Amino acid sequence: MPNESLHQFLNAIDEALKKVPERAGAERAGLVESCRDGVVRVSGLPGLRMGEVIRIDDADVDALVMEVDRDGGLAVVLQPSQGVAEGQPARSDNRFLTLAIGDGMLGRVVDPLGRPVDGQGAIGGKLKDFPLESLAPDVMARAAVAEPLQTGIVAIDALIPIGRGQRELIIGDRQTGKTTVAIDTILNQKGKDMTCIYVAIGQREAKTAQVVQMLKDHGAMDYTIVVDASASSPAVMQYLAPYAGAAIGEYFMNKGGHALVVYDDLSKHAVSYREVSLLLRKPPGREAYPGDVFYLHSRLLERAAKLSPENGSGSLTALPIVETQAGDISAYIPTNVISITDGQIFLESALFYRGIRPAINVGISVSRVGGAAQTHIMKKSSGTAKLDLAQYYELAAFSQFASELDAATKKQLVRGERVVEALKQKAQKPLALWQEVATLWAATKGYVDDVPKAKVVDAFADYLAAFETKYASLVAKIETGKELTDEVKKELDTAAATLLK
Amino acid sequence: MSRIPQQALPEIRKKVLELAGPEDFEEAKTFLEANGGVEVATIQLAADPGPEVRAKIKHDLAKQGVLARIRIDRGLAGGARLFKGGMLKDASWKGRVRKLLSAIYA
Repeated sequence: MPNESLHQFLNAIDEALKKVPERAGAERAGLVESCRDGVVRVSGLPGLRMGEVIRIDDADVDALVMEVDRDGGLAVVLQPSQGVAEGQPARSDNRFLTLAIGDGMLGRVVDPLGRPVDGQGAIGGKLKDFPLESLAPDVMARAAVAEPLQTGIVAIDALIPIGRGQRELIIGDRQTGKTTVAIDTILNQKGKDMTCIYVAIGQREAKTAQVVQMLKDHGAMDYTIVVDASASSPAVMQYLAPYAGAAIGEYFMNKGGHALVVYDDLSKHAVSYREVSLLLRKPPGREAYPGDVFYLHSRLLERAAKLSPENGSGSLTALPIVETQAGDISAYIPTNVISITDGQIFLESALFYRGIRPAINVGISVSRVGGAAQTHIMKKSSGTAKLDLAQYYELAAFSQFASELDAATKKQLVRGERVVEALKQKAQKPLALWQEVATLWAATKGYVDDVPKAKVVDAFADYLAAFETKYASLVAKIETGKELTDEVKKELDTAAATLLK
Repeated sequence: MSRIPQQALPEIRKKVLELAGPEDFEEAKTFLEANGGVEVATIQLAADPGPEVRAKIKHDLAKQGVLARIRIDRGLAGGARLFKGGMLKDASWKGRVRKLLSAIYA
């Protein structure tokens, strides 16, 4: 380009710039000193704040400030960091991480920053910005957990009941059905005034796609939002994902609604935080996790709450998932999360391979607050189930060495075996309240004691099918009344005696 | 390290502010911070202005007690950027074009 033309071109730009409104002369910015493994050191920017988002225009990326010092700090780049170079300006606009949340998110798959990743275009409807990190509701804003969250899984609803606003951990080795329990719980929320959020942290994209498809197939995406931070996404995105899920849940809770968040899983979340922390040169502690890994999960799970009537009576229930190695629940992250949550559902490989599915070990699974939220009918009909099972497991262990057993012991073994069979359930087949009550009643009252063990599952399938048609009024009575009256007891006895002959 | 006599400190500070180059910038900054504090300015230029202009920039800023660091960044496509006290004054062509584009596509 000849010099004259160049000057004309530059003058034209200058003239055009005069029409652009000035942004108060200078802008608050520092300098990128270095960028390594997605961690940017910024200098010349005193007064940076933790959790602030700085903008590096030259690389078209944002970075999250995770460590501050007198002259700047360390920030983790939120997008691919290839374009970041030393010497680029890092602009601070006093911006913190927010998520645009609205009802239009229902049925969508988003990343931890709320951007859709399902190829269905922009999220519609009115969206409002909410911070990713927020303080948990305080003591006075909360109410006691008193409403049940029906999972549709008999073993859980009967023996380890979960209430709305509770935090119940699902823990177990790999391939024991942890995600299945969580997904079945989501499936069972259809028509129950519950918004579900499934947060996939460090999962394979294929697995998340499978979950989304499953939810779609069962019509559950209508009331579900999926937050996806897959294994291929940067560690910082995996670290942010559960907070995004909690923020979405809080949006629905604060509107007076009910939300359920599944964090799948917090072991991978802790690993991603460890990765970020090590890159930030934080001192490694036990299992190389940083010292604040407990706070990482406690501040997340404390956001689950049941709000008081003055605050709208909404609830946010959390179902965190933790993966153990060879059943070791005394590892660092499992013990941390066990101590934070209000109970745990322990899934065991041994039970899974014996065909007991869901493979819940009812002996060491516990729900610390859910009992208060259990419906009257469920509480009464499951009354002896836990005892029957405990006695059965104890006797079963001893009976292996005994050559002869007395009649009472044999009877207890038979009953226990039948209860175990009754609690077996296929994946993606959550049961309605009446089905759970009818099953438990028949099993604990001995109506299937004479049915051969191998045929109990089929017998229950036939029993429930017949029950629905022949005892429709009883079904309605259980579903609406939720009370175990003498009349209901009598009808349950009649139904079980007639249909399980 | 031997203690610096208080009466010699102002003169040493002045010399450090004026003479510190890019290779000993961090040491100079640490020294000045430990001995009375310092403000740092980074000047990015699209082309090397030559030793005389460099020295003048450093001298002028040193008079204000500012430790200057001059960097050459051809990516600026002309002009300069000044980082000082957490603020950026962008008088580079790269900045101007970005500003114009962001106004067009805002």
